[in-house]
Amino acid sequence: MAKPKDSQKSQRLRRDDPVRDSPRRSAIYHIERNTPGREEDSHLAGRPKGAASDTIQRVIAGMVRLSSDTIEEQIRAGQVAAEKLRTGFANPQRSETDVNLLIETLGASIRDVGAAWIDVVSVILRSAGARTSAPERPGTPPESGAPDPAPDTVTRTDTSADITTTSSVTPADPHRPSLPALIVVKDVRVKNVALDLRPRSPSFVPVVRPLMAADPKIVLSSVRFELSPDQAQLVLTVDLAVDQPPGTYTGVIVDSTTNEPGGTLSVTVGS
Amino acid sequence: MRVQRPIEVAVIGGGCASIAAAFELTHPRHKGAYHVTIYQLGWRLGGKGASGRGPAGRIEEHGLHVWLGCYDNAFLLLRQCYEELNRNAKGPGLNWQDLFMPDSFIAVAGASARGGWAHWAAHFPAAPGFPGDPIDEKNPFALTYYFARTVSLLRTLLLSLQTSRPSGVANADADASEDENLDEIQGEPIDIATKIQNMLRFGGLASAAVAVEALALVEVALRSIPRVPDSALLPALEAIASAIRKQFEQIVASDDHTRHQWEIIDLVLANLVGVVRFGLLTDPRGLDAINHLDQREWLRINGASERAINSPFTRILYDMAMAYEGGDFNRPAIAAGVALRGTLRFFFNYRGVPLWKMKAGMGDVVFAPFYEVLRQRGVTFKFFHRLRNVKLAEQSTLPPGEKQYVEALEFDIQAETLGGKDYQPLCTIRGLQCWPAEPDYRQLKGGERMRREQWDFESHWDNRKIATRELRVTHDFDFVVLGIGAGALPHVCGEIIATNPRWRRMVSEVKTAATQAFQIWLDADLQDLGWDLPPVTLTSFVKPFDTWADMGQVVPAENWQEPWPRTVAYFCNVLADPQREPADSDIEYPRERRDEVRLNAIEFLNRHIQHLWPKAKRRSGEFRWELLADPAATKRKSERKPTHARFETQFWTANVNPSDRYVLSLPGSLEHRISPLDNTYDNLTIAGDWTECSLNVGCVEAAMISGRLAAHAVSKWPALEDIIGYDHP
Repeated sequence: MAKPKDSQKSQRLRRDDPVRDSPRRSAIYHIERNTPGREEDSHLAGRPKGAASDTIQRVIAGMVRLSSDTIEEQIRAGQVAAEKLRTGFANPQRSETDVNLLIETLGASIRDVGAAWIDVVSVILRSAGARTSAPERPGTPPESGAPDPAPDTVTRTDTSADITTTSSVTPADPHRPSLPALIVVKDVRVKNVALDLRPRSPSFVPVVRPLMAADPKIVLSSVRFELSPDQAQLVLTVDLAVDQPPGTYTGVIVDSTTNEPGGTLSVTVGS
Repeated sequence: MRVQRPIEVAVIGGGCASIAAAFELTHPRHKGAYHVTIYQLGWRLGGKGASGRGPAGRIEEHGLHVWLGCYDNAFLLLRQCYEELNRNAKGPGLNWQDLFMPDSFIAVAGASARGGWAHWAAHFPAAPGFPGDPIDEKNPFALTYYFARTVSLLRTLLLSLQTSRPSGVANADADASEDENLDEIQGEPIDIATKIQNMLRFGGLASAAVAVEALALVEVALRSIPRVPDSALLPALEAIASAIRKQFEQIVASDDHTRHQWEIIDLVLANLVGVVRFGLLTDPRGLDAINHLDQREWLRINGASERAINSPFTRILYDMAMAYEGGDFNRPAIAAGVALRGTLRFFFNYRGVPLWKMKAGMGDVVFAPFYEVLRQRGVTFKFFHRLRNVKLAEQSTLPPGEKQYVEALEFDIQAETLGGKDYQPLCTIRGLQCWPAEPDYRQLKGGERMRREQWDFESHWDNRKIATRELRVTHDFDFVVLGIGAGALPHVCGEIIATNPRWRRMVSEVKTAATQAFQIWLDADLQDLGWDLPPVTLTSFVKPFDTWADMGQVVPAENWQEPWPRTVAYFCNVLADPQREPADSDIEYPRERRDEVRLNAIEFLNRHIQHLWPKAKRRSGEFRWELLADPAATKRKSERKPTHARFETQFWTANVNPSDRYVLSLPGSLEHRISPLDNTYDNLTIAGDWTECSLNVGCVEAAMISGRLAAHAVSKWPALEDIIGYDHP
């Protein structure tokens, strides 16, 4: 605390350097500090992080990057639409159009962040499942060791029916890479298709639920997965009903057996 | 090596930070290891919080001092002080709760859609406990906690807005999916996450009702999932934000009440989106990461409408923090991180009620008891000591590796007491220990002459003194706690500033503003004046006195002859700096500025107060000056109608002394603050709301935190983790 200065005749006291001289601002510090079962803060530094925590951290970092771009776009669209709403108050028809545009943009944003969202939700679910299924034993050390390597996402961009399609896959097992699905578009009114597959297990068999537009009563059902004739390739076929309304349709890809989420799909239909 | 004698600590200044440092250093746990001497210019403790008693024993303050329900450190120390005072007293004494009045009614004023002014007032719900109570296990300072509370607030606002929605707006509840049982929000995290996921799958939230229920799910998810991946909730928030904006932009055009609620919702949404978008939940800097932005800029970036950005709910942040650079209302500026942190603490950390108004002057309620307890603990008080210079040891004399240190403190002695006795600073009014509005000249050598010559002991520009004194390290002090105001630093720390670039940047970038205030005592109550709501604290009104507080609760503590005034109104805000800084010898400068405030107040009462008090004006539009209670009048009846000259019987002040200037939290300035924990000078620590004290905004709580940090710097106690809210995102 206070130490005398030996070399002077009178004892000049001096302060010790502090252990720290600034507040701990990190929210993760507060989250970890308040997770049930944790020890007091003074022992935090010595505890290794669990694999789930590291995975969440990586996913969060990815989400922040992805979200920043999409949110910026969303906010711009929102500001434009909001301004038009204010000036177009006397013209409800005009406002309705702008609001629909806003909702469509929102749908596209959701598509873009949805994959990462599903990723994190899955991690949470697995973390929650691990906590409830593995009761603590006294003396059991916390999880330690290096986390699993992040699986690599493979993306392919193709052309089908003169439109650009994007298909990506993030395999469940990072040591067993997968090929992205092939997208086949069968109607020229389709303007864009973006598929993002994130299977949770090697036995994942994808199923597309009916995609929904901004108005959930309007659906796109004529989209299906099938295998290529040589059984070597997953193919997504996109077709449209004759009276399919224009708009952006989005939905979740689920496992046909477990109904667990395993990706997202969005299809934009023009007039 | 154990030091035999107590460690001598010289505490410079008698404001909240210095008092807190002294209180902690003399805590019984130290067993007398520290002897503290407080050096104070003039006759009273308090600094910017000092108050005095004028004619009729009326309370005269520097400005409006209302303690917030989130001032946990300030209340903790004050409560300890009262406990100790009453433990030592011979008879029952007052408790802190006897001297604070809980107040949950807050109002803001803004332009009405129909022209003129409108005000929006709210009763804030009671929260459990009292400020200063121990913090429970659920950390209320985690951003996830705030996030959940913010979402809950947003949901409440939406629900309240929905019920008052004008007829004709389509009820879109029918669009809600039949597949979802949205009434069910209980459940395991796995269920809640799935529900949010399913909701997103619809591609949009078609109705306000769905938006409200979605918010409930988000809130529950935040609370129930221990490690919340904040960004994972971003798509849900965005969908909700979009749906809400879609719904309510269409119905807010002409209704003031609805528009105000929408402005709040808009601001809350922008903050929610911004916190996630900027990654603040995971940024190691926490909310400091956005301190380079002004609050309005931050809101704009995150999608708030211009209407919301300029609404009274945004202005309130600037007004409460006096956030006007140079005291210029055309230059509002407050760092976004500081503003958001303060907002979160104000809304979600208050105990009991948001505001706690004192029932007497701050000097009476706070500094008098602290003075008593500190004296009982053996603290020495040296009044009439004005610090002139903090003298450093010669660099050339320092051995290698030795840190620079404070070698001496140079003071002007403004006055001495007769017989060399300790100056007795307090007087008693209605049983309460108080600080008088001027020194007790009878105790001073040459006191009568000083009174006749009007020595202004608190004025920076009145340099009269009777002697000088130098204190030397190891002889007179071992450590120094420099607890003066930020504005005074350049005048007393010249050597430090000249040799230390960090200090140069601090005094350059951490700016201050002068303030002005006035108080009027009225022979009418608020209803008579035409204010039809309960007694209030209102801000965002017209400049320069945009903040008004009804302080009628202090009248019983004053010493008026019957009939007492029916109420007291306090008004305050910043005072613009002059074009040219006055010379140090310009002894008339405070009086000139004070006269300026008088004219400002008269104009304000004549032109603007009628918007709040419609019955306070004459038919000519002039203020009804006869309403003002004159303390000198035995019967307050004028034979003829009084003019604005009647205002001279009231109290007003221009707080222009450097040490009285209000510290600002300008964007880009926070990084230049220095912490009390900084050990550049190994026998000096600093204390004040201008230091890096985590809260970093001008207020009592920040000063108290800083004082506790200064005590830690000297004695390693209190532990940093025990300084409430210090480790705050």
